[in-house]
Amino acid sequence: MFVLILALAVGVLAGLLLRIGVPAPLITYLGVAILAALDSCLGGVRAALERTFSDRVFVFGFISNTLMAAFIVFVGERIGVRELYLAAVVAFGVRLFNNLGIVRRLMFQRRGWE
Amino acid sequence: MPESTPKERITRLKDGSMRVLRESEQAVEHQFHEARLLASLAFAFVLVGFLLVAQWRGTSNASAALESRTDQELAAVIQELAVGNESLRSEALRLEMSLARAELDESGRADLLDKAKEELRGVRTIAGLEAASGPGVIVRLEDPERVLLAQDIVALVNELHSAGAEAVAIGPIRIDARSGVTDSPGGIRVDGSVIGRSIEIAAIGGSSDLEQALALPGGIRATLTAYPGVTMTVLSHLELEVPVAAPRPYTLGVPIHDDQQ
Repeated sequence: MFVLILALAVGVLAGLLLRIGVPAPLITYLGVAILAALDSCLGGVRAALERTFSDRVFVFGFISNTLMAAFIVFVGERIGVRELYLAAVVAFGVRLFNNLGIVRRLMFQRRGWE
Repeated sequence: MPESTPKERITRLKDGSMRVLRESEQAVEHQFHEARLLASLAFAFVLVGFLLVAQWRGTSNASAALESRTDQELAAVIQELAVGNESLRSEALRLEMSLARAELDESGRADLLDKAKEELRGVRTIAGLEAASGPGVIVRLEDPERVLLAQDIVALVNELHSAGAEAVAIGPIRIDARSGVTDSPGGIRVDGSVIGRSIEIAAIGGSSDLEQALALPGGIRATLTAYPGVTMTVLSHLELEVPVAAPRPYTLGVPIHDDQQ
């Protein structure tokens, strides 16, 4: 877990040092994509704790979830339903909190706090 | 327990070494799996961290934030801006009007001040408090017999004033409202100074008017030159100067101001 927190910190640091800002038209796309990526990461942590982790599944899930989230926003824009991105936000948000809850429970079980 | 044959012992040893080999292979595989797990997760987390910061930077940009809003939100923003713009425009108009009014007042005040200064300069010149220059005439009276009296000089000065002289000086003495011409045993005195037999009077005014007034038939010239030995010459000048009057303090009289005028 320490390595993952360190990896997140490295990513944040790289973002701060490179000073790259997302272009305005892509903000919504990337926002939902980040949500999907976060969900995939927490899903990966959960799978690792449950000892069912498969790196192929994780990488494929990470990429496909992210692209699908952005694609949903794109489709919403094109068909005139801009609020379609809310569907992705809700879906990934629910999954995110679900995974978070499971990861927390598994970690507590590992440490014998439950 | 019967003793095992060499063949059986070799078989057991082989099984044992195979088991150890399998276990070590599994351990290596497990470690490899763990490393791949950690590497892929770490890479994903690095990516997420980087994207989070990039997104944060993007949304921090005000214009970007504006572009990411919905049409309804943008319409509301435009409405707010229009109202604010209208308010600012009316405020600017009000301020411009105030500025124009103030400038008008200021220029009016400046004009009034210039006019007052001009009037004051004129009044001071007429009162003899300023030296003056301009066109005019110099009247030279020669009175070798000393027959002229103070009243003759007063009459001459009056004639000049009547003809439009704005400033008059007898010799070096400026004639003002408090000047006095008197007779004395030593001769005619102007403001206490004897002026002698040769009298020079400088008058600023319209040269032709002054000359005509002096030369009227039966006028002052004819009157004065009728005295024995008295001669009068009048020379017109385009530019002559009269000095400033001697300062005389005003002590006893009190000016009466009429504030309503």
